[in-house]
Amino acid sequence: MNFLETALGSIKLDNPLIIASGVLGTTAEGIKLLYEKGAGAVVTKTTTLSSKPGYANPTVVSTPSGLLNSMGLPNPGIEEMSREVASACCEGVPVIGSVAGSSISEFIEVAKRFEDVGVIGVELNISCPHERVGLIGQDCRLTYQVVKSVKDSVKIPVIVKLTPNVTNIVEIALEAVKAGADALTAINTVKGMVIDVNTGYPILSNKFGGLSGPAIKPIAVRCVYEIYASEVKVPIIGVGGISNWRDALEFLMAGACAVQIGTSLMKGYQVIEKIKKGLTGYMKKNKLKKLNQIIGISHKRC
Amino acid sequence: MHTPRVCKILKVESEAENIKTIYFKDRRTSSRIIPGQFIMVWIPGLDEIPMGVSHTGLNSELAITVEAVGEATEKLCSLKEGDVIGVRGPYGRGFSPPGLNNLIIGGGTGMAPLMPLIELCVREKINVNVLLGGRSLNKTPFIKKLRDIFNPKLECFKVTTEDGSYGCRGFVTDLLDEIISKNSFDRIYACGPELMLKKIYDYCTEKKLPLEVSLERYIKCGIGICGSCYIGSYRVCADGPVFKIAELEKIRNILGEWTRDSSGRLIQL
Repeated sequence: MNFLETALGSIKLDNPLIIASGVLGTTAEGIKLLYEKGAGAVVTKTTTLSSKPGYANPTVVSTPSGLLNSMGLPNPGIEEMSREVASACCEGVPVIGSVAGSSISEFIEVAKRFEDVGVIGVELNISCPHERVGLIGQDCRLTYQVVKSVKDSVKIPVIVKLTPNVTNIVEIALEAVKAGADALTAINTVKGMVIDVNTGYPILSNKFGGLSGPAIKPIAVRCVYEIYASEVKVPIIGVGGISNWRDALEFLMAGACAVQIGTSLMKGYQVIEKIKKGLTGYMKKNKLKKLNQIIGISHKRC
Repeated sequence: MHTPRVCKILKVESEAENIKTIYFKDRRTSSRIIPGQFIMVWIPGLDEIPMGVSHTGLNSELAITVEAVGEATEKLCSLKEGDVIGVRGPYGRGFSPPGLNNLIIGGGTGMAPLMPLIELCVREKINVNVLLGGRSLNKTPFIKKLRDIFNPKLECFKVTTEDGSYGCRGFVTDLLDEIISKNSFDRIYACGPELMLKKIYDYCTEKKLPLEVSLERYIKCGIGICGSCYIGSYRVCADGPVFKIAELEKIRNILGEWTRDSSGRLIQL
């Protein structure tokens, strides 16, 4: 019996562990391997219409309990990415296409091309803290416009990835849902900076980057909890600092139907199976049959 | 942990035309590094690039050997004693420990990550044969260093240059048949231009020889999470950069044919 089945609206997943965007989902073989290693679904690297080289190195630097990155959305463009993704989709891998663009028409075009090759949904990246697209997710009107336009152009589910770099994440979440979002991903990375004190240079070539890893988990859990407690009734995917099954469980209890992992893959692919095993063990021990029995239970505890 | 540690440059040696060897100290790297592993070298304000370590000495002394081929490597080559670089690592999987009889094949600066392995063999008195290929005498690094290490009477060090200005005229791969027919090797290690590696791979596959090669791809994070250095389903920075012959079987159609640029686009080699 599979204790870990979950659903994001019409998307059914074998297990709730999704590989977050920006992490390894760049090629067909990379995506297939992540699925073989046990992921419930894989989100691609964020893709734009034309190729983008990304920022110069250093693009990654570690901090206590976290990783700061500023890749600059490098991707080969939708033409080449859709070929890679098509190959994974053909073999039955559940792929979610991460979409960005510098105009509404670019968002629409990229989303449609992903739809054409058989992805199970698209995730709109309006929240990257080191790219201009991140500004969309900090503005209610722009969020509405982008989500509505994509929603009107594709039939597959549209997931919207939210940024924590706002005063009130619920306000943006509501706007995305009003525009038709089928699910929300919370959260993208937290904007930060690291300076080398020996030389005075900011380490990342782009100066600012997005913080991920255990350092941001409490922020992410709070965001998921706040959205779940609001009038938003679409499924939430929790992400931010998950590195073991207890972390994943925490997000489920806060109200997430599924979770994404990224930074913790640094320790190896086996983290995927370890989390699944831990969650299954927890379900058995507590005589639970379905993840639904734990999703959002923290809201009933106060 | 994955933060550059700033190190002072102790010494810069001219290795060949446009090729410099830069010495510095980093205890974390020197105490952990296995020959074949790499470090990320930060040039403050400009770039960060993956580099093989070309020397591991006493008191945490290390060196990298750099050929000026682009903006970052030109800047590195212009640095002087007392200037600073940042390093993080060591990263990736290095070479297996040497066997009883070893063959090491390097092409140009591709010899760099193999140098610590040669140093190790010489130090431990393990049998090692070295083939070094280059374009010409002036453009080939490590000739003097290797000549100093090896006893010329033992004939275990051979050089080829494309123009014949030193050693045999031609490519290192021209010498494979001769050296392999006369010896039985427990390990063959190679690093250099991918077309050279592909030739060596094909040769060793046919003869069922225990080859390991070090590969190069566009590396960004260095820690196996960003997906920029895929070759097939391998991440060069984390699963490599050293691959064994059985692993190369899976990527034999890519080897020497395709690489990816900074955006991840496929580029014909």
